[in-house]
Amino acid sequence: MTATKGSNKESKDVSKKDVFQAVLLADNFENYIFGENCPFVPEGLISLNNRKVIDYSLEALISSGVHEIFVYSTRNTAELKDHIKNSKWSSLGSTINVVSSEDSQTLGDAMRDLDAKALVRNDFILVQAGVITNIALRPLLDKFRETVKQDKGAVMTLVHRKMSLGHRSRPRNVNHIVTVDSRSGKIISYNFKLSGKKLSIPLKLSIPLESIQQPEMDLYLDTVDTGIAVCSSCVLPLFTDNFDFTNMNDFIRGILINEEIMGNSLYLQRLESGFANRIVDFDTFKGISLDILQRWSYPLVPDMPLGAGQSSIYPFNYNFTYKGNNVKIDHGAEVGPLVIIGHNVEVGKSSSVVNSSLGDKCKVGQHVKITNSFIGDNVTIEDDCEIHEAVIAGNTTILKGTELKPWVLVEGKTQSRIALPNAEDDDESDSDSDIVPAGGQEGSDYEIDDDAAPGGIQDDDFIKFSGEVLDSLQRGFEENVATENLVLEINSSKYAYNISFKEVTVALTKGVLTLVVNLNPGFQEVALKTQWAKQKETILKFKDLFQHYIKTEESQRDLLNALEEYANDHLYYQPMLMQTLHCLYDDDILTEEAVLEWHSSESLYAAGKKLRSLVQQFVSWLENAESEEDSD
Amino acid sequence: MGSVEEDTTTSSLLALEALLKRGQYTRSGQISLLTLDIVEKYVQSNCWKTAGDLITWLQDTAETLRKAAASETASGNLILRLIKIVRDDFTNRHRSRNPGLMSQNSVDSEQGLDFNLEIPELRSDVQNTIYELQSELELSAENIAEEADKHIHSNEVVLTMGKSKTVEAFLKRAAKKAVFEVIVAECAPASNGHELAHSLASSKIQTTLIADTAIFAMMSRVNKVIIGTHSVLANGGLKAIAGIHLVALAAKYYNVPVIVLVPMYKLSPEYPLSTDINKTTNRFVSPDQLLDYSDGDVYSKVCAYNPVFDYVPPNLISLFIFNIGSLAPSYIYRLLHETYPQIKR
Repeated sequence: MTATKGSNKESKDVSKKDVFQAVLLADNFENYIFGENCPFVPEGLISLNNRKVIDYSLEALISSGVHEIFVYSTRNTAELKDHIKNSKWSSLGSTINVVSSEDSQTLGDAMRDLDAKALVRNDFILVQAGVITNIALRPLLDKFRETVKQDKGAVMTLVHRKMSLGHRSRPRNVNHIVTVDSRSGKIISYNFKLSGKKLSIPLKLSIPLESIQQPEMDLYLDTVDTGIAVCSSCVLPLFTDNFDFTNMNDFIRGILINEEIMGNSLYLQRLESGFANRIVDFDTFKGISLDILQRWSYPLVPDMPLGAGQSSIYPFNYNFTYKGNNVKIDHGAEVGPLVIIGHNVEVGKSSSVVNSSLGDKCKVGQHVKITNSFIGDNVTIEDDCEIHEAVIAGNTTILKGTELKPWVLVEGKTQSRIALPNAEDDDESDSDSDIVPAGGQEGSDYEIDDDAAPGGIQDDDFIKFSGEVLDSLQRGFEENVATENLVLEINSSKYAYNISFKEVTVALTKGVLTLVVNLNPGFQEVALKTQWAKQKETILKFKDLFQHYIKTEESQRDLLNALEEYANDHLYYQPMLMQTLHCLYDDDILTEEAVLEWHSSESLYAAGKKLRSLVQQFVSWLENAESEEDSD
Repeated sequence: MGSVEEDTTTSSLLALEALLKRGQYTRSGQISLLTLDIVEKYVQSNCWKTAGDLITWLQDTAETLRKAAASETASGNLILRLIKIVRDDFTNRHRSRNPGLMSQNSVDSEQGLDFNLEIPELRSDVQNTIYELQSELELSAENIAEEADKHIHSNEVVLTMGKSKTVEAFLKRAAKKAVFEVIVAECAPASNGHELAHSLASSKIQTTLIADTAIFAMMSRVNKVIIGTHSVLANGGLKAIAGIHLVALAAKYYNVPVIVLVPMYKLSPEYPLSTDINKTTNRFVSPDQLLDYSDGDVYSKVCAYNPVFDYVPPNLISLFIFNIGSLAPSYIYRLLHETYPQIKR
């Protein structure tokens, strides 16, 4: 830790090449810790145990000897700038620059903006909003540079902390499953499975072929993203190149899927000691607050100064209570354990405060019960109140006898419920719930299929993908787009959603069948003959496309299953199934064997038997043709 | 010119402050040297004119550093000692200029002195004492080690705990004359006893490394306990690394003498405020070394203290060996009187 020793003088001497840079995001973007109506904006200015969240992050960076820190802010920049200036951080020998842009809505935007501004010149540490850590960051950077020597494509090391499931400081809805090459720490797959508190190990874990030949792999479930990442200088340009990356998950997914094409790879550094965690929701906020009071984050504890100048210190007392100056606690009051009380606070008779933080100049009346709550500065709580798991913003008065329900945020006279973590981005989370293996398509080919129904893959990505395929087909039909271009379009959607070939077949088949209905209003009312004529037209139109995708027996099976499923779901189509089979057979897309095998196989659908009897005529024709050939 | 010098002093002071705040140092000797460097820079600069200026600056600096890390007393001790020296130098100079003005009693003489009087020679006087202090700091371990022959004899069994540079030098010096055995307690959770055991064994001293739990069992075989300490308190007690109290109690039970090796800068004028959890002098660090953070929900119900220091009462200690001579705990008050100024900070 010689870096901090040198202060101003040394940091100026350091050659430009070795400037230790870090990007600290003050905003959490789409994740709101206290829900969308949170008055504390940006997240960095939320008060955690009477200090601002951003101060903890800055302290971590500065004590690790970072020379140049870029604080990126999108909202309330003036307040943030004032705060940083008043804390006199810059006198500690590191330069702190506040970079702001009101336009950045997502982490991706912020990264692209930083790239455009060309401030970061070499490898840097990316610290997201709400990171609290006491680990030394320099060794992480050094280790990353070692990794780069071994693997030129390494673009980022994600820093995780070992943390068991159900840990109080773990985000409830985020359960990453990360597969890593034990030797190098290279990430093989990264699963953003979001589920309830219970975690089921997915059977559908796709592992790419080459990784099976690897001597050892580690699969981590008890791991939490600390929000710290060591990035190479090409991370920012990568965000610029891929304008659809909005958050870190997009980035991780994008890098892993295109690993083979782009040659970029990700690494994982999983810490087993030291404190590193990130506030992302109210659960983690509560947990980390207690962790700090229990001194896990030492030296980031209330009795140690943060920053330079006269930062407030709350001395440590018995029973893990921290009290500021001039605190008056009645003899009959019970305070602690795990409580921090700001300066000039009064606590009245028979009141109890447990696992909570009270800001400066608060007044707590008599017979008040406060547990697991976070109370800002200048708050008056009148007699006989009960406050559990609540957040009270500064300058608020809680009237006599109030009982606050858990998970409530009080600001002035308004009360709002703190949203359940990730409740609002449920739709998004589902789309995140797939598995991203390195090298995309191979991954899916080796999956252990736990879906009973062959066509029953119904996750959100697939639905989105099907939609895109249908759009491509429609345009292809109307504008006569060349088959090669259609293939290109479908393939790009395939990569974007990480879709297997099997699913492509299903989507294509159903797309062609649905297309007719979409193109011809009132299609289902017209005569069967007209229906088939139109249907045949589309099938023939996309003959080449079918031929491109359906080459193996496996894919023929998928095609047949898809047709069967479609017929099962759509009554109008059932009479046309036989003609479709015939048509595809004539075009050499389906082989005789495939059709016969399908026909004799056990059906998985309700209408399976009926459908098989509907196509009996065609099948027997096939069988006859075969026997005739045989007899020849 | 003065402002540039002032800047460099301030910035290096800030750096030291930051170092103390974040606990990014390994030995208190290192802190003392850094403190002395800063003082030297200041003394050489044009920022001060009179002894009064200098003393005020020293007092402020001591306060700043004390605030940065209340548990780290080395730099504060050193600065206090310097204040005493500046006062004495000033008094001597003043007296030689105005012979017969002052009474013969040196303690009383300070009362009527005006420290704002400018004495040009003072600068070089203070400069010289700083040089003396620097060499004292650098040589303290060696000076203490010179006493080794008097305390360690052949065929003795010596017990120590953790790793102290001073103890290491002491034992190695004794090994030149005598053949003896050393038992090293590992001093968990830092376990730096391992390093000491390794170092001693490679100097061909017969060494046994034991777990802390085995200290009591081994004590009956031990002739002497020789330990280092973090600081010596004003009552003759120790503030030493956690675990030393256990050693001292076991030694008392078996009536084994406990010898503490202390360089002068570790002598602190502070009294222990409370014996169990003294909030100003102890340091409570992360329980990470003792418990596994990833264990989960247990910690909603369990809090763990992880103090860095033990307080060892003076009655458990037989002898202090300073770099300027040996003393029993009951004589610490005299040494304090000679070293530090009478007026409280």
